Parts: sequence; C-alpha cells; structure tokens
Amino acid sequence: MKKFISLCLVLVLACTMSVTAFAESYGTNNNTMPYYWYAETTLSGQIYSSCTVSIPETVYTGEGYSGNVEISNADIESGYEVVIRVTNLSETDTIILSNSNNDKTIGCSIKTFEKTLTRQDNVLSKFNDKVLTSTDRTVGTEFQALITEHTGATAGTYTGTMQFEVMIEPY
Amino acid sequence: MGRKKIHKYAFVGICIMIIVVIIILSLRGCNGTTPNENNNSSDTASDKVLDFTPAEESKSIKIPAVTGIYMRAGQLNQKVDFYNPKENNCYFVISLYLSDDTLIYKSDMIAPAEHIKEITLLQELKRGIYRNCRLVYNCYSLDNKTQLNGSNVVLEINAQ
Repeated sequence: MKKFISLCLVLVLACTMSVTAFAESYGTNNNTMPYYWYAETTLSGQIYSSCTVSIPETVYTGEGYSGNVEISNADIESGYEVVIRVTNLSETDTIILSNSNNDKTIGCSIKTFEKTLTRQDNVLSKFNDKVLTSTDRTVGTEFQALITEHTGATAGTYTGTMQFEVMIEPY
Repeated sequence: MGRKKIHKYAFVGICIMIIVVIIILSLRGCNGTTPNENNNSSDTASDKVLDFTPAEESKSIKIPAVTGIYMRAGQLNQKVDFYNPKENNCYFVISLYLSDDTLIYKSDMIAPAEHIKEITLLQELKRGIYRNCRLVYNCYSLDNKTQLNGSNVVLEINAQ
C-alpha cells in the first residue's frame, strides 16, 4: 500500500512539473530575428484621357463663312488621338437644312482645307497625344459649309444642325 | 479840340468793332459750322448713314470629352461630374446611352457653370466594362431654347 501511494505521488509530482519551452532562435552570426511572413498584391487604377472640344454654335453657309472645331485642355494617354467626326451626313454626303415650313430642304457639303467630308470619310479633325501635350495652345480645324443641293428650294432661311462625334482612340 | 476827341473816339470804336468781328469769325471757324443757305448741295454723302451690320462674333460651345467614367454596379444612384462649362452660352441636355442605344440617363436643362454630381440611372449596371457608350450633348440657346449644334462623346463605363 505504501509503495502504491508513493508511486502515485511521484506520478502526480511529475505531472505538475512544467517545463519552459524556449523557441529556437534564428539568424546568422548568432543574431536573433523574429519570424515574419509577407504577401503582396497589385493595385491598378486608371485615369481616363480627357480634353475640351469646342464646336461652333452655328455655322453660316457660303463662301467667306467658316466654322472651327478646337481641342484644348488635353490630357491624352500616350498612343491615343482625339478624332472628331461629323455623324449626321445624309446619303448625299451633305447636312440637310430645312425651311421654316419644313417642306423644302437644301444640302450643305462640309469642306476642310484637305477634303470634302463623306459618310465613308467623315473625319473632320484628328490630333494625337504628341501634338496635344507638347504645347498648351489650342489646336483645331477650320471648315466651310457650302450649299451644294438646292433643287426645288425656294427663297427663305434654311436651318439645320451638325452632330459631332468625339472619340479618343489608339492610333 | 472837341473834334480831335471825336475822331479819337471814333477811331477806338472802329478798332474795337474790327477786333470783335475778328473774334466772332475765328470762333465760328473753330466750331466748324458754316452757314448753309443752300440745301441743295451736291455734297450729300455726309447726310447718308451707312447701313451696315457687323458680323456677330462666332460663338462656340465647349464640350467636355472623356474616354471613360466609373460607376457603381448594382445600384441606380451614381456619383458623376456632368457639367456645362461656364464659357458656354447655351443649355445642355446630357444623355447617356449604352452601345446598343439603350438610354440609361437623361438630364434636364443644365445652365452654364452648372454641375450635376449625382444622377439616377434608368437601369442598374452589372459589374464590368461597357464599351462604345455615348454621352450625348444636345445644346439649346439660352433665349428661346432653339436647338444648336450638338456632340456625342464616345466613352466606356467602368462599373465596379
């Protein structure tokens, strides 16, 4: 009995004895450094290109009159250009103007220094990032609206509107 | 003796009259007006008024162009910055279309210098990039709201 009790006491004593655990140190030249982990993730963001396009409020037809489209305040990504097109040319490549009664129409061709616009080639103005960002000045294109179709039209004032499309696209 | 005095006074009076006449004539010459008794003068050019109306300075409309805008997917309320530049003399009505010509937003008349910072879309957008969208600027005169030239800006909508 005494032996049994003493054996139990020894076992209890052994269980209550705690041993301090020491972490193995890591480092070179006997210097200690803590363990660490790192991870990385990429962030990406985009600031879109922008500019201000000036279009004429109204365009008067005929020789001697002209309109201007201008581009200013440009912040254009490298490799991109600003392209301005006229998007409401009719099947006869003209802008249709109507009289006040809307029963007579005339057609106006849009001419730049280089060409007359057509539905297939309706680019009015094009400037790339190198031109737009190399200077603070405003760049633009001058054009004329000339009456080329007036069959059946009577005297009076004819009006219409031009629709411009602005795209900033790669070149 | 009296006679000498009379002659003397007469001489002075005549001199004074001559001086007065010279002064009057010189003043009239300074005014540049001459009596014109004959109204049938052949010189009628000065009476004619040139009937001339100077050409109005051509006005332009400034359109803000951008290649893309960010929007929140899955909600109708969006934060944007649609505006009418303060230099313009016209109202804007701004519309936003997807590439299939679906209208997702249309504004009221926007006055010059006015910004729209929050909009409500007509439909929610799913998460992704919508390319070849159009921001359409319809322009109207300030006085009688006559439609003026307008512009479309092609852009992408980045819905996240």
